Amino acid sequence: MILPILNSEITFLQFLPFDLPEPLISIIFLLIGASIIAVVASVLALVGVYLERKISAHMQDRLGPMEVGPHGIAQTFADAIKLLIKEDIVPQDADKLLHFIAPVMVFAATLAAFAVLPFSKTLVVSDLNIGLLYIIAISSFVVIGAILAGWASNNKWSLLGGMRSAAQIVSFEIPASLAVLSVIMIVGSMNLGDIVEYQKGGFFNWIIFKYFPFNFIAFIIYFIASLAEVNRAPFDLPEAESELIAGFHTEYSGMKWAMFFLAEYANMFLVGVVASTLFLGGWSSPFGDFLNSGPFPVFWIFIKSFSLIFVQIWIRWTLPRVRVDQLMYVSWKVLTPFAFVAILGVGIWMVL
Amino acid sequence: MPLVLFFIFAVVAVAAALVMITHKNPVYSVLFFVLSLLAFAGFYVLLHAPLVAGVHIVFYSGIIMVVFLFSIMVFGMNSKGTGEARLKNSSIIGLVASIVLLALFISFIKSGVDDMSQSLPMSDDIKSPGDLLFKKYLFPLAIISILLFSAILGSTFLVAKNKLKA
Repeated sequence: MILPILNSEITFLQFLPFDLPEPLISIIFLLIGASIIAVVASVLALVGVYLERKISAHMQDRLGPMEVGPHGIAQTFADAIKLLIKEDIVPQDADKLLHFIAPVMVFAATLAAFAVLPFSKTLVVSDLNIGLLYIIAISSFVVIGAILAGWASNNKWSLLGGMRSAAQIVSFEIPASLAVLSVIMIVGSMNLGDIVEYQKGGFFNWIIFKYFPFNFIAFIIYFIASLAEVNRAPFDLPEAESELIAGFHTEYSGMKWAMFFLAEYANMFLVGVVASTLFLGGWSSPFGDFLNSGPFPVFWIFIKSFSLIFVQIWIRWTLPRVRVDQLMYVSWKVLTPFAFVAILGVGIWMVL
Repeated sequence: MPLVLFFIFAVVAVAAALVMITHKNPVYSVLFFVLSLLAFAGFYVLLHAPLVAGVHIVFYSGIIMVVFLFSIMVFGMNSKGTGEARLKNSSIIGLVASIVLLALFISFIKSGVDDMSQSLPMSDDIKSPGDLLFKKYLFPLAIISILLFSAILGSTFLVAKNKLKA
């Protein structure tokens, strides 16, 4: 519903007593789209934080936050307000400018990736025809942000965390991109809307069930690699608290720290939406045309991505953290060869 | 609008490249290089080649720049760079480089600027670059991949050799 507003001959600006020049109008609507993304992503991140705290608590036979609102629903909002009014501490020998830019870069890159996510046929801010490549490209700035945060803090643990993060994300980008490649081969387009259109008409049309078992393998590879790319357990080595205190955001406090935190949870949601769009039919209903109009596409995409988020949280609170060498072993010697096998299998099957 | 965007990208690209060369701190140099590369990605988008723009960002900003930052930090160039790490005979190298650049400029202007946009496939989809790469230019592509593959093999061999020694 955002796209028609952005594209059609703008309705409410016509009520203005003066004419705006055309570039200004498009800039205004880009800004509106950007602020909608920012609000939606931040709220989703807060919901993700709440879910993580609640689910982890119940897995450990605790209750989790219960005080603020019924069942602690408003707890994360209270925490956000607390973080906003906290003092912002910058280390004395830190590179002040980069110390400031790093969290902004991480958060902005995450938000920018939300711009191409389709939540229904029309509810997409920018229907880019290279949407998938755009997401891969823009999330690489998260790495640069993490390295910069580690370096600018002028702290050994921060630097080590940043380096680990860089090595990890660069390694796991390869199996993730390869896993995505088989989807692109099948659909023949990088447009996320096209990919969803291709999978319409029920769950047996989902790409995860196409060319079984190759795409199933690709989905598993993408999911594992995306866990590593968003620095989630069992791959949360960049912020391993027993070794590195808090990794690259050790020296951050207040709102800057909150930006890293929100970006992490927004990234979780982003990965969930991308995985469900690529492999699980995106916003289309799993039962053909049943409940596939009006607000239901948004409902389906949220159900699918929040199930994936639940699996991420589940994995985090049940599995131990891997070692650095095991991490690299998984990426280079397990996931990458299997991703190649999946691509080859799909390719040969498509030609046959 | 494209013209305005072109000039914005052009100014950003040139200014960022200048700062990249003149800044004393290598980390800032890398960052301004990233900015310059982003402006170049903008040019590709203006030329209706979004695929090239995306690949450009993935490889240059995403991977090569990360490796640059990584190596700068591994070799411990601290934030207070002295700016004294200069090449010997840097003026001669600079002179040769500027002559080559001038020759490039002259040949570019003589060959005609307008021809550039004609030779590019003017469509936004990913199919036409794929057709070009894997049908028309398959042979050069194969040669480039063999070159890159041998580079990967060579670096792996070097690492393995060092490991055996240690």
